[in-house]
Amino acid sequence: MDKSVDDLRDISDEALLVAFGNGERAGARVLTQRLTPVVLGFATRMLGDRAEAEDVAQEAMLRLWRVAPDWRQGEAKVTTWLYRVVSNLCIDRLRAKRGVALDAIEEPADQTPGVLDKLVESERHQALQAALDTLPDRQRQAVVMRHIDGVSNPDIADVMDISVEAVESLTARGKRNLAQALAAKREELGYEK
Amino acid sequence: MTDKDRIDEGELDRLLAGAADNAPAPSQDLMARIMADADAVADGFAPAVPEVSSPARPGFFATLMKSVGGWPAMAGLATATVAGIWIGYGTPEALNDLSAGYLGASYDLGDFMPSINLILEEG
Repeated sequence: MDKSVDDLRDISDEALLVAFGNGERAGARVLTQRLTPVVLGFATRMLGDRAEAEDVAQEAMLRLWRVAPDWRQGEAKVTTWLYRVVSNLCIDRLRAKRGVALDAIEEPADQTPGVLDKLVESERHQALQAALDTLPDRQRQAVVMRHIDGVSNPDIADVMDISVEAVESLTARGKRNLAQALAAKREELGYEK
Repeated sequence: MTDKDRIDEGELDRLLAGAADNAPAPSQDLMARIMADADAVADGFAPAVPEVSSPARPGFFATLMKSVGGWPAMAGLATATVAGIWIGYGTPEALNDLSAGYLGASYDLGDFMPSINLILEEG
């Protein structure tokens, strides 16, 4: 019999996935609510395109459902596995788009005047995304996971299949490059000169 | 590079933290599509407990065959049966000769085994 979603709130991602693989569909409902925002947020930061990020999120979750019957608890974290899948899907798409000039990136949409605070915040996020888009793929991947999603360095190392030291190096270089890209947009960010 | 051209680490950290707080929320449509995928995949899963069919019970003749030792033993039994029938129906001439030798011609086998005549007549 299917358990209710409330019964499964405190259960780990890994146990829920195994339960789903054994026919417990409520496990998928809880995982969808819990993991889709993470997957979508990461894909959006990686791609800078909401529609494409939604496609990637759906594809990554579909792959998760398919792997459920073979999932063994203790071998990997579901979130680590998902970050790896989303990273690969995003990098594949970015590589396919190579050749598109950076200046072809859409300008921020006109904002309705009158809500200044929201406007500035929105512009900051758009500027940050534009700056993230200029980073090499691996630097962007590491910076987003570490500094926006708060993933630990050992988990990032696991996702990217590199050492923790290499992760630290990547995020440090990524942040330096990000700061340089943002400097030119300082005015857009609304910081004091 | 002048100070105003640079973003210090504190500013960058605040900006990144702000991005974390403003993560894009998934639409209801996306959530519905992902759940529909989960249901479609679950429909294809094998049943958790596969049906176990009980093995067929062996029949009476299979049990009999097994108890006597299979086809080789059955061949021996058939030979013994045929031999027994042949012995049973065969006229015991040698036995008559033997009894005549010991007891004289005045005695016949029927004198010692009255039922033998009945069996031979019916036979």
